[in-house]
Amino acid sequence: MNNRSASRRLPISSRPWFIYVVLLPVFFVLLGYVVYPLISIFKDGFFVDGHFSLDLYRRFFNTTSMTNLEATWNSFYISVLSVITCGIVGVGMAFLLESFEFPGRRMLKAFAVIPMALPSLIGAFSFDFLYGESGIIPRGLKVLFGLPQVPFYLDGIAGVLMMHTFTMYTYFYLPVSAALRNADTSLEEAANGLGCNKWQVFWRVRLPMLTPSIVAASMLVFMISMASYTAPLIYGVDRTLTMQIVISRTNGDLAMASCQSTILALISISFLVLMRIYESRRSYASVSKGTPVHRKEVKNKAARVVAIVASFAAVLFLMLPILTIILISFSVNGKWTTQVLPTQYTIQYYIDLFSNPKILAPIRNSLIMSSAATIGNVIFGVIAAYFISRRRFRGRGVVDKLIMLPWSLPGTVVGISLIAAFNVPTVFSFGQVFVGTFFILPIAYFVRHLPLVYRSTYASFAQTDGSCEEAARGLGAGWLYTFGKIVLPMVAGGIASGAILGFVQGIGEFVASILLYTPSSMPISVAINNQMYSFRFGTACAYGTLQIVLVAVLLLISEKIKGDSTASAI
Amino acid sequence: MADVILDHVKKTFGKFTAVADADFHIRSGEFFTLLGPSGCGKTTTLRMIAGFSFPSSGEIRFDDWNVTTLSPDKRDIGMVFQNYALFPHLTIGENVAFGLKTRKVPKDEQKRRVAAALEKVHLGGYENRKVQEISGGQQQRVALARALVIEPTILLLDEPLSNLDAKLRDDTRSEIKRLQREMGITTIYVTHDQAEAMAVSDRILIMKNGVTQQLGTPYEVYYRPENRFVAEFIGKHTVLPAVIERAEGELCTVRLQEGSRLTGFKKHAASGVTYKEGETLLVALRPECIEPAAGREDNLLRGQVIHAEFTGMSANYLLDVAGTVLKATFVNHMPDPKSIGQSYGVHVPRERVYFLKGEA
Ligand SMILES: Nc1ncnc2c1ncn2[C@@H]1O[C@H](COP(=O)(O)OP(=O)(O)OP(=O)(O)O)[C@@H](O)[C@H]1O
Ligand SMILES: [Mg+2]
Repeated sequence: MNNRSASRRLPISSRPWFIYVVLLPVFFVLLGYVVYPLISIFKDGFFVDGHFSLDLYRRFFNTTSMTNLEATWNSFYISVLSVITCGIVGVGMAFLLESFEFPGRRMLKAFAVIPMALPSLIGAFSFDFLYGESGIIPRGLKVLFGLPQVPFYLDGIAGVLMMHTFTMYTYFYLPVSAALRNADTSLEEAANGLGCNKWQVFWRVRLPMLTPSIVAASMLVFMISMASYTAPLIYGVDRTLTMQIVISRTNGDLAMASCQSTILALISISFLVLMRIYESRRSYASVSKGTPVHRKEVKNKAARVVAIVASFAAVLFLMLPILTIILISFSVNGKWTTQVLPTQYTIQYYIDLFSNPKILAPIRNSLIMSSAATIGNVIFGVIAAYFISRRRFRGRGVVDKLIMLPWSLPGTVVGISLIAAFNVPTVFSFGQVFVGTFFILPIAYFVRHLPLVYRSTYASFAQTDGSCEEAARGLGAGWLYTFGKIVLPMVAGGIASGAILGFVQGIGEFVASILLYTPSSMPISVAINNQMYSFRFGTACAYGTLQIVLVAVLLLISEKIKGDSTASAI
Repeated sequence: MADVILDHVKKTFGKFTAVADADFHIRSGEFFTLLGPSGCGKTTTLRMIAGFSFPSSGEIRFDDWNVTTLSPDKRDIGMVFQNYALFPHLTIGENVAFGLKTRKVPKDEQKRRVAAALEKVHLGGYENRKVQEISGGQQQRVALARALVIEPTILLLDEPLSNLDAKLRDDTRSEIKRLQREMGITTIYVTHDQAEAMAVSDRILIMKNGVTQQLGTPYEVYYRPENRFVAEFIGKHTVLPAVIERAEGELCTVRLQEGSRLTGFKKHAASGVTYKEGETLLVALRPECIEPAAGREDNLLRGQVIHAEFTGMSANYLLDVAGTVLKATFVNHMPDPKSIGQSYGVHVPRERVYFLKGEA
C-alpha cells in the first residue's frame, strides 16, 4: 500500500516513461532522417514497378556485363592500396618526426596536418592543376628540359591514390605519433638489455605497441576510400561504386542507384561494426608513463643539410595545393591555356565574390544551409548527449549507435537515401516532397555531421562531473536554471568545437550536395565544380580560397576553444 | 533545524534491494552518522533524504512535512559531496554565493554572507580564486562553506573527508563538528570509517547490505553491540561459538569449542539472549579486555601465538584458539619475540565477557 501511494505522488520527471517523452523529438529525427532513408533504399532495391523482384540485384551481380562488379572490385582495391600508401607515408612521417631531432623538424610538424584543412573538391582540383596532364609541374619540367612530351602526369587510379594519400595520411600520422610520444621507452631499453638488436627491438617491441592505432587507422582509411567520390570524379575513374551510384542517378535509374547504395552502405556499416568490435577488444596493456621517447639528434653536417632541404621540400609539397589555388584565383578566366603558369592576373574575382549577386549566392547558400544544419545538430546533439550520458534507460545503446551510424555512411549513400525517402510526401517531411526544395540540403548536412557534433558534445558531458548538477539542485536551483547556469557552461567548449567542426564540413561538403542541390540552393562546392567545368578557373579558385580561409580560421578558433576548455577543466 | 524521519523507507534498483526498510528518527540538531562497509546503501539513503532519488516505498518527513518525492531544490538542504562537486567555471566566491542567488538574497547581503562563510572555514579573502587554483583540502572547505552559507535546516555530508590526507582529515573533522555545534544544524554524515564515526557522532546507524544492524550512541554500539557484525565491525571483537554449561543467578558459564570455560554476567549481553543449559550462544571479546594469564586458572584461554607486535602504547597478539583467531591488546606490556609458535594463556575478567545470540 505504501508502495503504491509513493509512486502515485512521484513527480512526472521521475516516472520511468518521462525520459522517452523527452526524447521523442530525438527518436522522430533519427527515425525520419537516418533509419527511414536507409530503409527506403533497401526497399527500393527490391521493387520494380511496385512488384517484389530481385532484378536489380541480378543486374548488379550480372557476370556478363561486369560494370557493377568491376566497380565494386575497383573501389575495394583502390581502398586497399590507399590504406597501404597512407600507412607508409603516415607511419613514416610519424617515426621521422618523433624519433629524430633535425633542423626543420618543428616546421614540418606544424605543416604536416595542413591537408586536413583542405576541402576535398578544391584539393582534388588543385592536384589536377599541379600534376595533371596539363599541370604546372609536368609542363614546367617539359619546358625546363625542352622535352617533346610532359615527362609524367597523374591520371586515373594513380591520381586517385595520390589524392587519397595526400588527404588521408594524417589518419595514420596523428594516432601513431601520439602513440610514439606516449610510448614507454623503458620497454625498449629492457629489450635492448635482453640482447635484442635495434631491428629486433623495432619489430618485436615498438611495432606491436603501435598495432592498435595502425589497425584503427587502416579501417578508417579503408572506409573513407570506399566512400570517396571526388577523387574518382576528377581523375575520371568511372568504375567505382560511388561513381556508378551517381551515374545511375544521373541516368534517372534511381532504383539501381538505391540498389548500389544499399550494397555500399552494407560494406561501410560492416566496417563500422568491425571497428567497434576491434576497439572494444583492444587492451591498453602498457599505459605506464615511463621515460618519454628520446629523439635522436642528427649530428652529421651533410645529413643536417639534407634534412633541412628535404623538410623545406616537404613543406612546399604540402602547401603547394593551397598556394596553387590562391595563385589561380588571381588569374584571368580563359587566358591560361598552354603556358606553365597563368600570365594575366586580376583581383576581379574577389570583387565579384562580394558584389556580384550571382557569384555571391552560393556563398550565402552555403553559410545559411550550413548554419541551419549546425544549429539543428547542436540542439539535437545537446539533448541526446545529455540524456544518453546522464541517464540510464532501456534503449540507450541503440540510440547512441543510430546517431553514430551516418558517420560510416558515404555521402553518396546519404544523398541517394534522402532522395529515395523524400521524393514522396512523408510524415517526416510533414507531407511535403523535400527533393527539389531548399530544405533537402540542410537535412543532408544535418545527417552527415550529426555524429561529429554529438560525439564532441557527448565527450564533454562524459568528462564533466554529474554531481555538480545535483549540487546546484540541492542549493535550491530549479532544473532549467541548473541546466543554463551549470550544465551548459561546463560543456560549452565541447559543444562549440563540435559545432565548428560540423559547420566547416558543411562549408566544404560536395558529395551529397551535387546529388541534391537545386538552382536556388547551390552551395559553394557545387559552384566551384560548375565554374571549373566552364573553364572559369579564376572564379572557381576565388571561391576555393574563400573556403580555405573560412575553414582555417574556424579550425584555429576551435583549437583555441579546446585549449582553453582543457586548461580550465579540473 | 528539523527532525528527519525515515518511515519504512525501501529502495530497489530493479530486483536489487539497495536499502531495505530504513526506519529511524533523527532529532533536531543531532549529529547522525550512517556507517557501514562499501556498497551497504549509505549514499543511497542520503540521496533519498536529499531528494536526488526517491524511495521505492515508505515515507521521508522533515518534522511534519512529507518530502518523500519533493524535488531537491525545495528541501532547504546543504550537501557536501564526496568529490566536492564545485562548479569549475565559477570562482570560489560565486560557488559559495550560488545557493544565496537561487534564494534571491540581495547582492550586498550575499557578499557579506559569502565573506563570513569563507572566514568560518579559514578561507577569508579567497573569493576571486579559481577552483582549480586551490588544494584538495581547501576545495573541501569551500564545499562546506557553500553548504553552510545558506543556513540549511539539514546538512548532508557524504564521506567528505575521504580524499584528504590523515592530518587534514583530523583537522577538517573537528572543524565540521565545531561548525555543526555552533550552528546547531541537524547533520547526517556518511562514512565507512568507524573511528571517524565514533569521534563525531551523537548517534550512529550501522548498515550492512542495505539492512540496518544497530542504531545507538557511540558508547552503545561499542560496548553493547546487538549482533556479530556490529561487534566485529565496531569493537573489533573476537567472536567465538560456545555452549551454555551453567546459568545460575546473575552468572553464566559457557564451554568453548576447544574445551576451556568462561564465566560472565548475564546482563552483559545483547538483547534477546536467553540462557538455557545446553544451548549455544556466541561469546564476544574485545582485544583490550584480555589480559596475560599471569598464573590465573579461571576464565583462561589457551592458544598458539601467530603474531606479536609492539606499537609503543600496547602490544598486539594474534592467538590461534582452536581455529579462531583471537585478537588481544595488552597495555604496558612487552611482547616476547620468542613467543611466536608457543602456547600462551590469557585471562578474561568476568565483567568483560559479552554474550551474543547464537547463530542458527
Ligand atoms: N542507480 C543505481 N542503479 C543500480 N544500483 C545502484 C544504483 N545506485 C546504487 N546502486 C547499488 O546499491 C548499492 C548501495 O550503493 P551505495 O552507493 O548506497 O553504497 P555506499 O554504502 O554509499 O557505498 P560506498 O561506501 O562505496 O560509497 C550498491 O550495491 C550499488 O551498486
Ligand atoms: Mg557512497
